[in-house]
Amino acid sequence: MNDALPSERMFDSRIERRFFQWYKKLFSIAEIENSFTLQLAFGALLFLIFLTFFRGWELNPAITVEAYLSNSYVCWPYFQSCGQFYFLHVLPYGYSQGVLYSLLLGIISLVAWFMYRKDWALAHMGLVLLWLWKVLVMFVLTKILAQNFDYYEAILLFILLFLPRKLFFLRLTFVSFYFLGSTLKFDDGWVLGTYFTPLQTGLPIFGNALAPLLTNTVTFMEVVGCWFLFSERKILQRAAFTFFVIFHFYSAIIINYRFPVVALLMLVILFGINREKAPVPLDRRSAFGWALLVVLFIFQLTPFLAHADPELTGEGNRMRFFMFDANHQCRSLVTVYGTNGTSTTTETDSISARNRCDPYETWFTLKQDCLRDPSIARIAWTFDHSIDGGPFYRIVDVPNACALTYNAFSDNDWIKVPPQAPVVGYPVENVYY
Amino acid sequence: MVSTSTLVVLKGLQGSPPVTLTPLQQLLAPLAPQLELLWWVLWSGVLLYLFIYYIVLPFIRKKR
Repeated sequence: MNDALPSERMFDSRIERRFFQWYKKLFSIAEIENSFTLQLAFGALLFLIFLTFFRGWELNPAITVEAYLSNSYVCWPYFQSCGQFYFLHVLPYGYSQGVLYSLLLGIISLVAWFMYRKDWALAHMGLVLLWLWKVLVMFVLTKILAQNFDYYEAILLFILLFLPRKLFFLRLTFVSFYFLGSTLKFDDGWVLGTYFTPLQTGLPIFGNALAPLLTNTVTFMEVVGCWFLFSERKILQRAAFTFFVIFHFYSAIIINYRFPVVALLMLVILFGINREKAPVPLDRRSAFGWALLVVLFIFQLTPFLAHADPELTGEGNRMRFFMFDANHQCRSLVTVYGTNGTSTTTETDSISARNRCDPYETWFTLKQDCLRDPSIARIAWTFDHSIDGGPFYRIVDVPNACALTYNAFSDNDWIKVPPQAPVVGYPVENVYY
Repeated sequence: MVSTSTLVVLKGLQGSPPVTLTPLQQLLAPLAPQLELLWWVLWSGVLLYLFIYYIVLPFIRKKR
């Protein structure tokens, strides 16, 4: 009896046993029980959830009542009233967010213990709760906490937790991340290397002279080379694996640890240390996995088809993988006219290449000001944006931002692209930090 | 060459030189649209090849 799993000891009635059998069958948990690679992936993704919460989200006021009251929050364009659902407080205003994240830490610890006891059903239940919170925050409660690596983690966790044929679809989806991400590189930023050469510090280690050769090599590996991670010819598989390991370590020079940790952990687990076979599944149970991939492709390609220039206008840009989409610089000039005849002008600049300069985020804040402050008569607004060292285009020039609305799924006619957006100047070298 | 009178110098970037292309970039710049198209063609070709070789053909064989 001592060898019984915690779930078998805690839930030993007939109904409870039947529930666990149904639960394990529904989520294909036997696949995890029988695969060391999936067990490693389970542990790695639990660790990555911990990293998400630890000093990233636990102290962040982005979804607190105070963020709503001070208008320092941003909702997704498809759910612009998200702030009305905020209920947490973070210190020094309160500790409810601390309580929540303490509970989540408790769940993380429990999942780790259930993993140690090889009780994958209970570990699975705990990880589902953590995944639900992550997805709720990322895609419902705020636009500003989700980074590319969060997309990776949420999608890989979804496969591990809910889909059958887990190992195959984890591997295929991971490789598809490279392949899908490569589509962002089919522009000047990567074809000419102008993402890096406008930086004051240039391309790390290699310098600027050969930047196009290096950027196009990366693009080639993400379009073609990544598929050799599946190769049965050891030399090809190891060559592709080694390239991406080096690439991720190199990328850590500029983007720091967080993204490379996600990518390296999953790369090593899925393609490095264990070579469990997972043939291409073409049965009915695999339909969900294929459907997920189709959805990922649609989300990645739709902004190219539905919007004139997602990198410049920001429209649809975060509905896909958007890492290293372009080197951005922008300037926003806002003049608030009061009902009493006064006016105040504020200029805001962004000099970091990785700040996406999405005019939606500025508009969202201005719109909330308009709705909350009756003393505002109108807000005149211009927004200038340069990408990859190219000209500054005046993509927004409106007499009254209060009168605008933002459509999440189609072009907004008040955001212009060239030639309608005039050139207002040229950039100087900027920085990445 | 960029005229300095049209430079936009954002706060924090004072003193930075204007953005210029390297000699290799100047060489490649006129070809950039064609190179971008080439990448899309290669990307689509890889996707089509994988779809036919690993999904369509095995599926047809399985049906037989």
